[in-house]
Amino acid sequence: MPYSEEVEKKLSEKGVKPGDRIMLKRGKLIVEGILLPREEVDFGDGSVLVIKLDNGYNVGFRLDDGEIVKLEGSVELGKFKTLEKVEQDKALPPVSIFSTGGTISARIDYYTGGVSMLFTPEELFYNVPEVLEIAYLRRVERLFSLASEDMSPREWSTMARRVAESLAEGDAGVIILHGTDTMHYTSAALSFMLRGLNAPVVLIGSQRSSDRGSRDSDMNIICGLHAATKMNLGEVVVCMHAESGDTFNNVIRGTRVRKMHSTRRDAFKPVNSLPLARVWPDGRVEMVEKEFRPRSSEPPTVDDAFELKTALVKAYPGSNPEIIDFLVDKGYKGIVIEGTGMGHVPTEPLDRKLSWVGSVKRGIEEGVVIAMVTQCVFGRVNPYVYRNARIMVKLGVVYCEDMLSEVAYVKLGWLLGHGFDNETVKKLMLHNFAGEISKRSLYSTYQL
Amino acid sequence: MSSLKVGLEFHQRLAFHKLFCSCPSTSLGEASGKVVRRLRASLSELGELDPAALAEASRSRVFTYHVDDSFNCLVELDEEPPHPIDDEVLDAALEMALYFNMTVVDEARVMRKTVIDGSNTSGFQRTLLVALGNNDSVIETSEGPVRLKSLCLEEESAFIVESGREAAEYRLDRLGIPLVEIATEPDIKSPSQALEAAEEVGLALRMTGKVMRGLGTIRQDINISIEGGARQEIKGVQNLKLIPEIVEREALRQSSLIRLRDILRKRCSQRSFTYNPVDLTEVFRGTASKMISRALSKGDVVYGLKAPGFRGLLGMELQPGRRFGTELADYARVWGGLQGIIHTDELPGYGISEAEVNKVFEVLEASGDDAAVIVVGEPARVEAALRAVYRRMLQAFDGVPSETRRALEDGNTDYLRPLPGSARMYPETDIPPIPITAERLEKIRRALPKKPHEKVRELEEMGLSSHMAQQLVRSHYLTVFEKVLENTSLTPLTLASFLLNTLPYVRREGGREYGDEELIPLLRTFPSDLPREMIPDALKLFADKGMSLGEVYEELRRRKVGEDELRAEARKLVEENISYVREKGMGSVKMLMGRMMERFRGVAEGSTIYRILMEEVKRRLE
Repeated sequence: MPYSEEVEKKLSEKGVKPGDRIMLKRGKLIVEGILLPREEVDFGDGSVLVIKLDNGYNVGFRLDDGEIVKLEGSVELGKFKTLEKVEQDKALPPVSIFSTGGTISARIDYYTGGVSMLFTPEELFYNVPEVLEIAYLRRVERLFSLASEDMSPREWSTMARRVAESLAEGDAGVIILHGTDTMHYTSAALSFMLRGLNAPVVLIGSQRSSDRGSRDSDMNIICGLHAATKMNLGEVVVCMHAESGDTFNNVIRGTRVRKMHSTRRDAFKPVNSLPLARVWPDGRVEMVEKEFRPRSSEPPTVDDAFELKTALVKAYPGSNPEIIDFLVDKGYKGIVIEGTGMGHVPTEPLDRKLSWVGSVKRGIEEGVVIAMVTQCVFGRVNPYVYRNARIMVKLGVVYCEDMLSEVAYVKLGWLLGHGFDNETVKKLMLHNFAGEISKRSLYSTYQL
Repeated sequence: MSSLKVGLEFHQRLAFHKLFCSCPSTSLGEASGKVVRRLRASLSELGELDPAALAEASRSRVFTYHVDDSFNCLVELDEEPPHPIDDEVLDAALEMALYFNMTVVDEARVMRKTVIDGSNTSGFQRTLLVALGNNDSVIETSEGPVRLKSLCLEEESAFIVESGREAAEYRLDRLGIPLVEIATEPDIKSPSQALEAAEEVGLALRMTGKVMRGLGTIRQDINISIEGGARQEIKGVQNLKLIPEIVEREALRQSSLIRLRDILRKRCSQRSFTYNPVDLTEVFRGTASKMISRALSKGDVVYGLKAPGFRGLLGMELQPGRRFGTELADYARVWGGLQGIIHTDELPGYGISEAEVNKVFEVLEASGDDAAVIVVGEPARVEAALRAVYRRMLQAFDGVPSETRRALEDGNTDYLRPLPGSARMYPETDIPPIPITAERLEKIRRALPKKPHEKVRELEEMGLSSHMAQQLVRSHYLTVFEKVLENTSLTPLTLASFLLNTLPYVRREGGREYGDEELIPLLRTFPSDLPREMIPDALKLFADKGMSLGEVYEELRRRKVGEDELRAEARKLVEENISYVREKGMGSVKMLMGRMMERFRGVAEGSTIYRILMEEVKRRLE
């Protein structure tokens, strides 16, 4: 919390503001340093002064009846030095980089610890000078400064449009810097929205903040640029650490990737597929997947329709189908249910009120498209093995094969955005647009 | 040495699990896996790199971390944010701060201190300042008071297994162990006072009973300057006894550097010294120097730098066994990753002929008071090394540069990196500020540990001699003593005697330090029916052979010799020596006791043997 009114009053009486050098005398205590602000979201006590000592430590001392003396030597807080312009090699393959927010675009204020979204091309060049040898960064542009979870389909659409424009201008590939939490939703959305993609669109994020020496972002950017410039690929992919160590990155198809760990560098794993390729920071690219869409000459078209009244719902023991009723009542057009196992929801619980049959039936009757995926993450749904799934499929629920639930949500929203009739949407849910669905479940693709 | 100014910085490991996760702070296990990482330099708040960070970054090394589920989790691997600090470990730091009468902060804030030598997987060390010194927080020494400056709680770095030019390997078992760091003001004025202050602080910390003991669990950094010199931070002194020698030798080094400066200034000006490296590779083509010819055959190059006015100064001894040239070699090593340098004060030598030396002088256009520095290696490394050497030589005109140095075993030091600025520290954003309430401090204040002299008196009241009581308080076993005494059949005297007198022998035989987790349970449960002479065997069976305590005592009961057997043996011995017994009377018991002990040491109680012998001799004489 910020400074208390009482502290603010005493500070202004002395003409002291954050950034000023002060001395606090209180009883036996004499302490000198730069007064720091207290952030709105800061925990702790607003009557405690935060002071940066000359040895670098920040400490909190209660003002109480202490005396503040303003000293010479105040500093300007929150100011970043402007970096000198950097010359680029224009003979290298042209690439555009769009930053959208997230840890990879965030920057720390070393005084206060506050995080801000300040991303300039020069910062990239100074922090990761290797990029200057890989590509000509024709454009480094901040699209948004959004945390992963603040992304919405509207931003997916903006990204798709900017990517298409860049590729039309002749880029060899495009990089999108993105928060990691929902990166796999964006990668799926772009996979559907960019039709006829002619070059790699590479999403990159960072699991460690950029202030620290151990940040993964630099290697992700380096490997991502190699992927964007060297791969013969016309797909949207995620390029992140393959291992906890800084060894190599996986390039994973945008519709087959999922964040599988909240914190590890190698959080992104391919699901029901292999990575498309492996990339090393020294520029080596090794293709793993044989089937992929190669580069082509025509730039993509953007098909970014999206039905916002689309929802993703999880079934679990004791889950109440009222949630479906609520969505139907609210006018939702599509619902993806993350069922248990091969795609199950409660159909004959002892407490009849917890059966989903009635609500699902009503939803479909009222024109809502309901799709089923598995909450197991890995594997394929199958409506014919158990009775409760047979009931669902008979009601008209679409079973989405081996599609990831996040991908099914994005795909359903995208399809519904086109105004097709429900039967068409259901049919297209099972059509393979961007590698999101496959007929064969391969033994080697279950790797954890 | 009236102008000497010394400050100490203590790093004492605390006996708790790790500071920012719940991993144990002890580990003996092997690592089962390896993770390879690189650390990258960051733009700091000014858009500039800290000099110390830059020194490391310019080396771009690969770090391999040895990991194991038994001693590290994702936190040490920098794969998960830190967990909140446990109350009890913060309480221990607060207790130490109050014990030293320091002013505790009202809100502690965890900071990140940039460290990119690989010893922290994250690229920084987490640390929080807990208390500041005031006029009442002083360490008394016979040469005057030493004020305390600050007390911090921080995480220990990773243990270095191997360090090379391009790579280093670390184990993650040590990373994250809680440390208190206590810094003094530079009030220390002599080498002996430095030692005394260090001993006093160590003793005070042990009085809390919350510190780890054993090799490496406490280490000191020493800040030294002399008048006209500059502050040096000497890292990692583990042996307390070495402190006076290090202080003395550093004072000597600084005064030598001042003398060197004065000579240098008389000879030429700093401005006349420009960076103008010259390729000498051709000069040494076909040289008789094996070192150089071997390098040239690999495609290495030889470069030279004229050092105006440095003749005789490169070879000048700064400390016993270390010359100014050695300092320059440190810079070539740290910044260029080279083995060292060659300078003309030591030539002809190393197979380099006088003719070659003359040629070098000729090519470099050096004469008179000039000297030259020669480096050999890959072109990029040579460039980096020579630039660093040049910078260091420029500093010689100003006197003593501030550096971070490493303590060597003989009391000398060598160059590690530049002294870090405060830019290395910024907030740890993953841990909220920690409020420290007055109530919390009051509770701790009420239960502060006794002062050493009070503790000595308390031990004397338990029946320990004054000498033993003093010895115990100064030893590292006071905590073990007190913890065992809470619940044991051993008397305070037996216990103290074992810890002070017997344990050092056992330790030497076993070749290692025994941990609290080994000593305490054993000493607490040692049965009263077993002779205390069997404690060493019990410890070996328990700690070295891995037996459970139940198994240990069972085994010892098997080994223990009963009174019947002792009596039979005593009788036999008396009969065998009957004429001696008759002659000496009860005085014969002493010799007989020695014979009995030869046989029964460690398997029977000495006092029992003595009683039986007394009885048997008496019976026979009657």
